[in-house]
Amino acid sequence: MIKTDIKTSLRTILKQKKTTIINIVGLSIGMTAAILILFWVQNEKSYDRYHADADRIYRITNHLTVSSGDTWVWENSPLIYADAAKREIPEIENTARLYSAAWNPLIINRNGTLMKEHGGAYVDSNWFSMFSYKVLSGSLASFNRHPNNIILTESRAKKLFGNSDAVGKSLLSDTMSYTVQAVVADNPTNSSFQFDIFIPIEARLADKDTRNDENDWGNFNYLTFVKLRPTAKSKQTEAKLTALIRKSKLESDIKSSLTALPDMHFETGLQSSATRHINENTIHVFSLLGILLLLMACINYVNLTTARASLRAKEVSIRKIVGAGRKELFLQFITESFLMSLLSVVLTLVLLRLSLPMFNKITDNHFILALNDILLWKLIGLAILATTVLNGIYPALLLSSFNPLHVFRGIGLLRIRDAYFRKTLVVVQFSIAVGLIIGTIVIFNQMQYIQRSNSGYNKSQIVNVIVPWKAFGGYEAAEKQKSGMNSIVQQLKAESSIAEVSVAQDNMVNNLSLSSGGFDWDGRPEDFKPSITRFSADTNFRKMFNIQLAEGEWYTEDLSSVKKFLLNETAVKELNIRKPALGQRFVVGKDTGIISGVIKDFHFKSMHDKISPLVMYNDPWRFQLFIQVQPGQNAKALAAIEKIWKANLSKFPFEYWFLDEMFNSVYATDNRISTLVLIFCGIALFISALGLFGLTAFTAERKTREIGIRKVLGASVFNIVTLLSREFILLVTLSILIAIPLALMMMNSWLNNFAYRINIGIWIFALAAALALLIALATISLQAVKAALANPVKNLRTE
Amino acid sequence: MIQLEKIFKWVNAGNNRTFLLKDINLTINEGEFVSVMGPSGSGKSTLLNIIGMLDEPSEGSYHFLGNDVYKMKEKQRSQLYKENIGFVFQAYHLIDELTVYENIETPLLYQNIKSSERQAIVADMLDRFNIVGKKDLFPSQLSGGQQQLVGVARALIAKPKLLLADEPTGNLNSKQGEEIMELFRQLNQESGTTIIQVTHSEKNAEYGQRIIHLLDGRIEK
Repeated sequence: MIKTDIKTSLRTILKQKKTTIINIVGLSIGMTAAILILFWVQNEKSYDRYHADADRIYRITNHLTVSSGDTWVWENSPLIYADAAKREIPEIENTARLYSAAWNPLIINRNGTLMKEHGGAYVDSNWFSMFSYKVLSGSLASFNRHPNNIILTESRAKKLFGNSDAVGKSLLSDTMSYTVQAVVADNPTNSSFQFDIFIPIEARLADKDTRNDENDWGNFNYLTFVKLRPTAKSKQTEAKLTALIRKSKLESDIKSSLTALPDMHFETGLQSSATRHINENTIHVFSLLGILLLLMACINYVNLTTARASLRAKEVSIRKIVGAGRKELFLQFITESFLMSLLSVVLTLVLLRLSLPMFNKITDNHFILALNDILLWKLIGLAILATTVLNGIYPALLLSSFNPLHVFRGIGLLRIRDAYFRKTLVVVQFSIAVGLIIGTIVIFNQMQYIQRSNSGYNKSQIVNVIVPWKAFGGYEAAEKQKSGMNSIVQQLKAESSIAEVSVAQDNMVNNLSLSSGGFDWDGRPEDFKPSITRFSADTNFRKMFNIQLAEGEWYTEDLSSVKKFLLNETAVKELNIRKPALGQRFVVGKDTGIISGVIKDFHFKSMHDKISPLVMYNDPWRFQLFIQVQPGQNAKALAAIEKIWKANLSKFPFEYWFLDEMFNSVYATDNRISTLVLIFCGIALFISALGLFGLTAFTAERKTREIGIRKVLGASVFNIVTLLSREFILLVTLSILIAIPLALMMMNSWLNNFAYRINIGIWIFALAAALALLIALATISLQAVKAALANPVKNLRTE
Repeated sequence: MIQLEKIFKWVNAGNNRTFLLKDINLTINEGEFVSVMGPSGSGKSTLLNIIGMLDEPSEGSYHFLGNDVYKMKEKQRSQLYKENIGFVFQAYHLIDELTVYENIETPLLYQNIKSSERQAIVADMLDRFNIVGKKDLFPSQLSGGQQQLVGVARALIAKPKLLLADEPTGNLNSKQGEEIMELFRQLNQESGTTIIQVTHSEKNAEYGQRIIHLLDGRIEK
């Protein structure tokens, strides 16, 4: 029976070539998209769960109330917190700490050339016992015995030492010589800890000043993990931790909480983070999109199959007359949809293979397509099951329900009810497609708005170079530092390829530094200590970044007179500076001066965040060089900068960034989402158009006789095209009407992630509607015109 | 074998009730070869479909092999039908996607007969009808007469006690028609298969032992 079903199904599939191609192409594209998304979703959802006892591991999160209503949430804790917690709280079984070296990367000396090795971390002796790492060679046990030990991941070891075993080899840094103790397997994609170099914390504490600093409860620098005993309750431990840190830090409004390891990836609201996070909603939205795409492809199959049902009616009726029951017929059609899914999977595997590199690039992952991967087959099995069921059930029910006598007598009882069902599905499909078009336009519009709002300067021509703060002798040598920086600036300015140089304290693309306390002005309530961004920059900064003054005047390079501060408009407003703002007393740390000007608000942070109070002033303690390159001379300028670096700062490795790269990295997630939505939108449109194409082709086929007769009676090509397309165009129009309010809701909620956002204008809907109608019309015309142009005599004769 | 009592069949069109069959009382014994004749619209096909359990009357009772058909459960009736009734149509109604062999095999599939057994039965039938050489052809590759031969072979494959034929020669030329009729007579005489055929042709009707004349839904006495 099954064998015969398969045979019959294959023949049917092969006989209707056009329909089959449409079905398989649509289904496999839908499947590919769904599988890729599920790959990604599964990966995101499984973050950090692979560690043994992941459900008992928590990270300490600290909440510092800096002013009423202003709380900073830090993922870091003081170094000594872990030891105190373990000593005083019995539920804590173990603790582990990590210091991310993101800001002070390890500097490697390779044959005299200094290079920064990013991706390093300092970890304490418990790190490898709390978290699961697979040792490939060497041993973890010896790692803690000496601060000069180091552990590398496999790919980092390969990069540094080639293919030979790295264990026992030594790695020279600028100050020490490390010995590789072990090589561990690369971090899984679903690990928050994407660190490739591990150094004992002891190595960091070898410096006496650092050790003194870190032994203070005021310095929050370490990711601190605790493993609770199986019986412990995290809420109670949180309370004990809060009590402990309050007692130790002598502060009453600080709070500690525990973030479960598996939840860490989905954290929001941290001030900054050493690990990667994602908004859980994003995952949900994309899962939904994946399912919708698969659904759209299934709709094509269902529509084409049921549209052709009348062609199958005779076969079904005969089978019934020769004894087939509904069950047997149902099975036959389910077999057909199963075979179709199976055939689509073959193409899906090819498509997966082709699209995976691009998908990895977009999502910044490194998935591989391994045919022995259980997850892959699970997902494929799921896709086959879903498509078989979605595709099969309705057509199978419909086809097996025919009454044979009606079919032979030519009564199309089912046509009316069934046609409504088909129309509904087309509307569902196009609503999704139109929704995605609207989404794409909104997202791109918002991204453009972000670019435009930050367009006061040419990001692609400004190079950012950071001079190490220790370069001229550190804090004790302020004078030396000042003249050193000046000399570098002069040398840079002398280069013909460099247009302008500015020195500032921090970068300007996403400046996350905040200070609270240490500020004062007339009229400030005693307990009002808002977070303010301090920003020291030279006078060139204004010109280079096109910063506008609202009133007053810019400070000058002359530092001898009274200190001049510039506040942005938000600061004037939020700090309630007395009017007139100009000339008011203002204090930053030890410096008292006056407000000399008010700057128009500009974006110095991501546009997800509101512009916050900023104070600018001129203080030579700053190390970031912003070098504006003459147009078209990037290569020459970079060579010059590197030469000057080597001449002045040979002890330090040279690194540079273009501002547009920094800018794009701030919006990496947004760019990723916009690319994915664009691709999904394209796929959705393609699948919908494919379905429409199939349906029109079928309608045209069914109406060949009618068209022939109408043409003989004098209908024009235009009349015929209208006849064939009117209904579909109406359906697409209905879809547009359904999609608009839904898309408006979804996109508004996405835009609300931004402090600065566009408004969704009518033109967006108009554009989306026009686009959808255009695509539908083009697709339909492809068939309709062909049918309309056919010679009626020929068609009527063959009937 | 077949007892029809007070069979009425009507359709409502607006306020008018149109009778297709009126008060049909008919007994057909096992082994009979009956021809049903009458002009178009006299209710021949309706009667055949009711006997073949493809259609139901509006009123009346029907006993088949001693079973009260309309009091049976759907499943049992379907079983009774599958095992005892074979159909031959004027338009052959072969499945275009299946070969001759597969078309003939189809009824056996729905009776859950084992693959090896099916092969033997179908091979026998192909042999008997002299169409072994055509077994891998599709219906569209056959002439009308050959298609009807396949249609008959398919109707007979499950060894039904009753063969129902709705104008089996209507689409055939007279020579092909004669061959089919000869086949029917042979079946009736040698295997004792009960045959009821609907026909327009006096000549074909003569093959039957009894002729029932229908006019406006009534049996003419």
